[in-house]
Amino acid sequence: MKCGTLLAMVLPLTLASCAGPAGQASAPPLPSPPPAEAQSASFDPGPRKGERVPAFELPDQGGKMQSLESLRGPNGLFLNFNRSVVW
Amino acid sequence: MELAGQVEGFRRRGIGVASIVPEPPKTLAAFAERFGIGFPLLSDRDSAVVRRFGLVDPDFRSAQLPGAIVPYAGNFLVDAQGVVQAKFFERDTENRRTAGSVLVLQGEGGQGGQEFRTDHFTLRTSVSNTEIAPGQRFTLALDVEMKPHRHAYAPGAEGYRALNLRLDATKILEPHPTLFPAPRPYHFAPLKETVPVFEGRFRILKDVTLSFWEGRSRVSEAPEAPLEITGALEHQVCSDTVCYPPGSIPLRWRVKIRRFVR
Repeated sequence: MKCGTLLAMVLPLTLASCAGPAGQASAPPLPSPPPAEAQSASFDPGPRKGERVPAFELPDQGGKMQSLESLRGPNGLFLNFNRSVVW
Repeated sequence: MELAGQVEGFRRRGIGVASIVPEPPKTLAAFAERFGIGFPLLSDRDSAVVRRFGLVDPDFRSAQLPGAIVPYAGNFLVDAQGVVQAKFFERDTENRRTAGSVLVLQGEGGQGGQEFRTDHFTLRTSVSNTEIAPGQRFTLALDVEMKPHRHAYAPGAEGYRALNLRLDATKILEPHPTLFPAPRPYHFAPLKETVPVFEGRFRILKDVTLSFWEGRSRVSEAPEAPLEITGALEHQVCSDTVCYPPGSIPLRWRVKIRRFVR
């Protein structure tokens, strides 16, 4: 029987035999899961992860020409493609 | 347009937002004014950019728009040099991840939710979107902060109740696999066993897609249709010396179903 299973039944007794090695519980915080895990691997149209997207320049709703350089923030750009603005 | 509500979240993270669509600038201007959209809508009238990106959907057919060239709908997250960091495209463009979900995947906090304080950890729940349209894939987030010298068992820890996010089944919600961070191997000398555990702060994510259909009828898109998502987080916590009984925290997320803006 595993220690945890046993202890679950006899709590709140502390069992010395289940004492773990000291100092292991203060590990640094774990990272969040990488976003890649949440993505579909089989369907991957267009530029792939790690590739640079093609240059583009298009007018916005005010008629102003926009490009990656004018749109990006210090940490990049969220670029959405849609079939229609009303979708 | 769900994205409009997430622009602030991206800007907080130093990320610009733009949408590439086929309508002419004049139409986009009217749309932006009507819905108060304050981020760039880019007019790709001849689909040149869609083609250059290699995003043309070859299977698209429309009686209203014969010969129309349309893209797969989806999103790129690129760095300041234009290098793709993450991308979100689905073969079935009816089912799409929300921009709010992308933000939560990047580490942003979600909305709403509950907070639980147990003897061993604190749990905050949230959801990427509080209004969800049929076909949208959104994300439930559980932010856990273990107390010092406490660990929770990760999936794969035999003999313990590993962390498990269980959602109650409904006809209209399709749950996707739960995402956990990488666990840490915990060596437990007295039993000569090494088990995967979580310590400190970590985040559990679960995507859910809202179906278009409830059995054979359309999901209600009444403006105020409430939707309650319920489930539980099953867990077992141990310290360096003591294991505590397995537990289960009942969870609840309250969202609304809304119709697409058309």
